[in-house]
Amino acid sequence: MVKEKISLLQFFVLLNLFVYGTNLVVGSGLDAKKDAWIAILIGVAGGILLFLMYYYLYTLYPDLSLVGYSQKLLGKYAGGFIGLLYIIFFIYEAARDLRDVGGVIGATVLNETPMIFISGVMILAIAYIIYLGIEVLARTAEIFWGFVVILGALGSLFFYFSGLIDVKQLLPLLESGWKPVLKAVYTNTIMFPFGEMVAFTFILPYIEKKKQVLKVGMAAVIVSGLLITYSTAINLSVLGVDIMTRSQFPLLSAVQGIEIMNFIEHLDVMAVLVLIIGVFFKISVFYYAAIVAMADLFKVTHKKRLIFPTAIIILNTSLIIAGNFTEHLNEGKFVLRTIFPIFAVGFPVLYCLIAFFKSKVTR
Amino acid sequence: MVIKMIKKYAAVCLLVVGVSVLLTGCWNSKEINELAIVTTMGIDQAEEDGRFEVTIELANPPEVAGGSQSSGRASTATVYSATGDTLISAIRRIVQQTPREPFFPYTQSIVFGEELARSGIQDTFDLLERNQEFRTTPRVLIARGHTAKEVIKILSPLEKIPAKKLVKTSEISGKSLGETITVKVFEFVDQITSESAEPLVGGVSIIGDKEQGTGVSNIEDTEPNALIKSEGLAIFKDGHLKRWVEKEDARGMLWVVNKIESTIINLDCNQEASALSIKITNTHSSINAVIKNGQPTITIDVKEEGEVEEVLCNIDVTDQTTIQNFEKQLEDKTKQEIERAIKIAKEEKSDVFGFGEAINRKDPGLWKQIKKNYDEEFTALEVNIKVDAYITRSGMRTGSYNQE
Repeated sequence: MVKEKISLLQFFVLLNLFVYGTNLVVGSGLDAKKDAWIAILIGVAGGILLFLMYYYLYTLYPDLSLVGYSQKLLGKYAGGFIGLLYIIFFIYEAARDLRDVGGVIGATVLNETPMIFISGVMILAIAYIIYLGIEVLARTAEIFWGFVVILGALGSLFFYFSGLIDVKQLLPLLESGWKPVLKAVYTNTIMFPFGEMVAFTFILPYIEKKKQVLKVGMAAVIVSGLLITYSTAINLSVLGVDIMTRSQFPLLSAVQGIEIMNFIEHLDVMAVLVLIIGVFFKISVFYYAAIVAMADLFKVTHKKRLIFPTAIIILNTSLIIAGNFTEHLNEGKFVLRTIFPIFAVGFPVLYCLIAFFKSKVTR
Repeated sequence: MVIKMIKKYAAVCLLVVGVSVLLTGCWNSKEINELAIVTTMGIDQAEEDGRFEVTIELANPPEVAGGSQSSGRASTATVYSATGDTLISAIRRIVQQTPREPFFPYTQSIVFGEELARSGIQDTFDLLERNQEFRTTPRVLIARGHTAKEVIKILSPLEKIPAKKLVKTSEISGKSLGETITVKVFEFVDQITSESAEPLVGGVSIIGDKEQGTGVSNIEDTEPNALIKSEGLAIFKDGHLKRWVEKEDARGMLWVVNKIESTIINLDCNQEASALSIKITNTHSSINAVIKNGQPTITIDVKEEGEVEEVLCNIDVTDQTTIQNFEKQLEDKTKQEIERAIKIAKEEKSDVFGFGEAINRKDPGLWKQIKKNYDEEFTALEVNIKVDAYITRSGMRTGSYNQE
């Protein structure tokens, strides 16, 4: 079934971009106020556990996607039904991220452009890259990863040189104790962004060197987790907790503050670039997972035929998903607490248990 | 075969049309010759027709650039104003008078009239934060004793764009005199929303005849009729301007908040008052809270480094003990300034130093208890000041020719 191959490095950068993509920009863990970065750091530990679970399933069925082994474990119909739910979930997620980018770009940069054009151009480019296949997606990720890293390093330097960073803004640690931090970990730093890694169960079978997947995957989770922690801490120390929690798009507000020698300033485009690149790969991965799931479930031989119809579904879903951005964000909070855990934790745990007992019985 | 070719041709056409429509990105396009760049915005209390009077200054590009296009006679900027219940409605009214659309991303300063500042400006920042055209970096200034409109209208020499002059005057004065600061919008908002700190804002006023200062003639004379002067530091409390702080008192405040880059301190020498000037070259200060038996006290540590800049008395600056005496005097003088500044802040019950933040950093639990009646706590707060002064150099000469 699997013909295309991606290398370990490509897997690393793809997972990296996927995890910090939207997170760098829209921020997470802000329920914990000044301690948001601690909440994210704890979230990374949760992310590692989740990745271990997906990896365990992968070691059992190295050539199958989640839909494939759910049918093996639960039978054709029950497994197929769950597979169907996953397809809807991935399409919904891709649509959510598309709405994120449409909403944020519309609110900040392209104020008068209708959202359908922003989202439309985006999904068109993504559909094209998916059409070319996972190998092309992975190679593109390699290039853009380097680009994002350079932007990030430059941005960091600019923050330091412009003297905007005031570490005191992060103090005191644990202002209101552990409770709000742990609450934020539960509600918004494990599921988003790490729970979303469930989409990678559809990409793991394409990796060339199967033995090193664990090592590289863990490295990717940790590196991206630390990067999010770092950028959240920087944003907090630049903007202060009040402005940070009220910002639609914290990184942009922080970057706008950079002014060095009356010359290096107005760097908004850096933040916007990071957002677009990150969201691009995030949507791509969900979209690709949805396509693979459909192809597996319905035994479609020409996967490429599914791509453009799905693009239209994602685009339309992203537009009708919510009446306004506030509704979209509130819906996001609700989904993160209810639907996400089912798909990111619930079903995979179920599969792990079944697989475990099955192996006992057969022995 | 033919069908295949037609298909290919159609695909290419579609691609060309699609790309040229989508990627040129002209939906939001703004042509530069249809925009008027706003350089500064002033906000005053409106006398009639609404809550605010907004004044914007638009740069006049040919005159700024100079050269052949410049008539040499027209002003480099034009000022417009209108009133409205909200800032944006006032701004939109201005468009009735301008042939071009005002463009805000390059706004350098936001000036508030004193009257409005006294009646409260905590509500006015929402537009500046929310609107995507404004940035968070314009400097906030208060037009001292005037309306913002009057201050913005003054044309002055050296800087072609009046707005730039406003910001620069304040910045340079802060840098070399250490008696004022320029805060950015987001810093101001950060402090005004904080429960544990209050903002300090620099003031600008007009000296000379403000009626005469608005024409091009003002920059033709060697002694202009009116000039902008950076003057005083405004203390706020809950978004209301409470009091202007002057000279040494203002410097006392800035010592504490670590905002002094350079300043001149005059010391007494041989019973002659203010006969020796020290140029401060390097300073650092930190505020820490110490909790003893549930009672917070504040410690301020100031380190300053300076050079002997001017000697008007008979003294040997090559002598080690002399220098040490001056260091001691410098420490005392700085300490007195800081003490006076703290007294003033306590009178206004305005924690401009961020002592509350220091307490919160040290003991968040205690802060939660005392923040409800922090005004009283602040006035009663014990503050210990520790100053270390070092005089490191004495310029290009060893002894002074005043020395006998």
